[in-house]
Amino acid sequence: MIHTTFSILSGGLVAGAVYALLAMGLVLIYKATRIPNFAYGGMASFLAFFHYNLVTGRRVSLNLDLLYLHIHGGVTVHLSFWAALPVTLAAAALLGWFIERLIIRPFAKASMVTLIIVTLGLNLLLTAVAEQVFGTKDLVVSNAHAIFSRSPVLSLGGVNFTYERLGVVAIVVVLSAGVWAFFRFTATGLAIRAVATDRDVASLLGVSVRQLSVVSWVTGSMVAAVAGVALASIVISSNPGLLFVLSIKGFAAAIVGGMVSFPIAVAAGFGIGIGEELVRQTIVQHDTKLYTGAPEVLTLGAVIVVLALRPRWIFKGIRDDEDTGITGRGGGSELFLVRWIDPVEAYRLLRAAIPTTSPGLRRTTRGIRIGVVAGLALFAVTFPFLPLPAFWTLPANLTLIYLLVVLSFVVLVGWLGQISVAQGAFLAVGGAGVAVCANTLHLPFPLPILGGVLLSIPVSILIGLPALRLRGLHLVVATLAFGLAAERALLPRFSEGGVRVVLPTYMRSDRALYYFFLAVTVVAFVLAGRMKATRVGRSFFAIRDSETVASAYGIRPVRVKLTGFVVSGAIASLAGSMLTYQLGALNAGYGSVAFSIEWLAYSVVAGITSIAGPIIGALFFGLYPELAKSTVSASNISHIQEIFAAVLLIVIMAVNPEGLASMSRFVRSRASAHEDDDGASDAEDLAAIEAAATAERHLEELPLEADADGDIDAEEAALSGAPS
Amino acid sequence: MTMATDIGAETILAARGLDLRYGRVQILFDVSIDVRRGEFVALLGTNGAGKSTFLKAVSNLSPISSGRVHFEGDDITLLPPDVIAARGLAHVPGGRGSLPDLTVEENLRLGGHLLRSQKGRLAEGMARAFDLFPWMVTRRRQLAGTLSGGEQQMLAIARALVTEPSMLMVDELSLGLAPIIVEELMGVLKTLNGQGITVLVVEQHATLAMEVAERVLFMEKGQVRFSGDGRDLLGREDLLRSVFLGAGH
Repeated sequence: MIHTTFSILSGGLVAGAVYALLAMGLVLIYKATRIPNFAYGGMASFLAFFHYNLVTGRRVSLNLDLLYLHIHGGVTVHLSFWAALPVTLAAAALLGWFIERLIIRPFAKASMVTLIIVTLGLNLLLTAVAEQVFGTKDLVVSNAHAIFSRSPVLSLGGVNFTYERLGVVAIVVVLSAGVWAFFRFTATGLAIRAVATDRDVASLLGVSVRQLSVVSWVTGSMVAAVAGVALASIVISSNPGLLFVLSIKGFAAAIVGGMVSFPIAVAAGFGIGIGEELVRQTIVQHDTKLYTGAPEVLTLGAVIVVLALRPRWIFKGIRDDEDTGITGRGGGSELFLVRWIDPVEAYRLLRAAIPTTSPGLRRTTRGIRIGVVAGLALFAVTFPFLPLPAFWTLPANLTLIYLLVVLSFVVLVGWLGQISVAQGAFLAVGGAGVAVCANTLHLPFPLPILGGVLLSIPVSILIGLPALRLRGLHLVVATLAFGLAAERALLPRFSEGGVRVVLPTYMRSDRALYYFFLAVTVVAFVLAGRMKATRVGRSFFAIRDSETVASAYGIRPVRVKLTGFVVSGAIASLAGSMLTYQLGALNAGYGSVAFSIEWLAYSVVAGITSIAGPIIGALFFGLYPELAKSTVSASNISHIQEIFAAVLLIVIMAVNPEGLASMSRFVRSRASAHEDDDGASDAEDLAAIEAAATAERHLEELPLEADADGDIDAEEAALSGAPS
Repeated sequence: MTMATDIGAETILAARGLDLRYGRVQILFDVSIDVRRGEFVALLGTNGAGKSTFLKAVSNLSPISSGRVHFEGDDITLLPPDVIAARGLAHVPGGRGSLPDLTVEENLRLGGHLLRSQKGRLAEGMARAFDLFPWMVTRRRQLAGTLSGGEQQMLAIARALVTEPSMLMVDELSLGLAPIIVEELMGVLKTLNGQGITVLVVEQHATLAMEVAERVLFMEKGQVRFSGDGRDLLGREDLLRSVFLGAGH
């Protein structure tokens, strides 16, 4: 009994210390800037890799091969742990400053959803850069390089407490006290507290919001460095994915403290750590296998309960602007890259270069459009008969599956305005449904796919329930916790046991499977496209743009939101069912939170509101990388492409949050708006008014017009310079 | 549009030709307002006339699309709000301007944020604030959110005075307050004005403002419609009707 108590204390305190440390950095940045930093795990991991590479003296090399550009370089530095720490902290400060200056500042007035996607994109960027620079191998901290000695300092009830574990807990306690004192007694700390409550009032008293943003990112990044270094040492073997997962638990702790309260966040971090250890010790005594995913389920439960109860302290600081959806205005044109490649300027130059009002031009653009669509369709239909190398088969089938993944994001995020990073869980659900229907119930071939889709409905409702009360940041954290729980508890039970599904003999040829997938995908797209133009689709847009206005028109948010979650979940689980048949078994990599986030990012880049988005997304981020993977040996994969995609994501969020697919429409509206409006229009209340107006417009579009046709005509009219 | 070339030495604030829009909605139309050093000016007008927006435009909380703002002879048009505050133009925001999660003392300390490296001046400034409203001394550890509306407004004014500004702009002084409290606050502003601080106050309570202010400005639909003595405004039925009936022409 005593042994158990001390053992829970030992394990729980250390895990709790780690969560508290992560929560601390998150709160620090959120308090001053209202930015939920989903890149925190990536920052901590990058800095941990940086630190231990200095300590081990491994050669850090950078090899870039980009078209004609070849950069090869490397350095070998060898420092002791404590000599390297100041270097790491300086690098952390620089990283924080860099991120704030180049990436965050342009988004100062962006909506919460935009900020979430941008920081998720930043996490992808940091992860890819870390892999490019430090390699993809896990970071292993040997005994010689541990932060403190791993020998026991004292033994209580037969449980050893090592210097390392007690040391990390002590660091967290000291750091917490330091941060608390900073907020309590210093002028800067007081200013940050004021900014957290009311940015405008604080700035009227001479508080520089920009300066505080820099201060908080620099110090937040330094806390990330400490967290990363301590964490990597404690867990011995780590990678960016692990740190991201741990940072989600840090988020859970920070959310309990309303993202602004330090003491509550730190206490919640310790609470989650000890709670997890308690669950582990209790379950392990019965059955080790049961333990799989139990801590994540516990965290999920805690997050859901806390958020669902909506205690006053969480929601008192929340302002309306944090709940605005993904459309609306973008980050702004302040991003320095964007100034160079201002799409509005580019459009004007284009307009000037091309003769206006030319019927020939109109015919040409329509011709190009039809040509591209027809070409793609022809390619898709004739693909299996084209003289292409055999390795094209798998990428082609996966591309069809990615099309559905992006479509599921388009429905949920783009149309309904609900942001969820648990889509990967539906791939797992689809796979699990197929496995159960085919192997246990022995249903004949196409039926298990339907089984997967049916199984997704209750799961969708389960995920959708938090969305009935939560929006923006809180919904993302809830779905993150959900995705994590599914990844840890659901996937291993279906993928590790070697659950295999077998296709019937008549489907085993590449061509048969390809055409089957193609047919399913086309049907899903046609149905989704039809839905967009009906009452259901319009009620999605209305909810997205303003829930209040939609309710005033008699739309019931509960029903509409759950419908959206079910439709989106069904599409994703369809993709999961197909994937399971394609690969012969459920693959854990496709059900992870990381997969969900990556594809959410790709979907946003491609165009989250348009039906054309999935096609662009699946071709750029699905077909092309899969082909590259088939031709290049796995060890030689460059992360340049991931880096490029992440940078592209951030730039697109700054220019136009609706993505590539609607770029031309966006540029036109900006160009015409510029003529009477100088872009000085970032007032929050007006964004709300505009959102309400668009919501009303959706509701008034009673005749069932074919949306796409209308768009094309308007586009051509503008391109050919017709007066609007 | 008036050009900002004719600013006299006695003019402390000169806003010329301010246009401001939120998206497609224009709020301010070519608004020009001059305030002389040591003056007590009341800005009156109907709901949505643009009074508060004008103050926000001056302190650059809401960016203007055209026009210039000069303070103490310098162009402050493009400066961020905190830099404008540092130049001695204090803006007490409307509604509950005090920060409810901070204590009374922390609110005042924040008011002295600009003096954070000058301990002596900060202590002096805080002492002045406590002198102005002695009840704050015993309640310095109380959270501002637990104060009454009038007390919060007093705190917001006291907080703005810690740094010894040369001009004080007070938005919606009387919002949600009992008339007797408003009178007291007006008295305080009058006293401050007597000590040499220029005051521009946005008021809904027209008759009281006319009694206290030396000069009255009247705004309607984003434009300045009247500037002069309060008694002359009383004679302008065409303008006042809109105040009392809430309608234009």
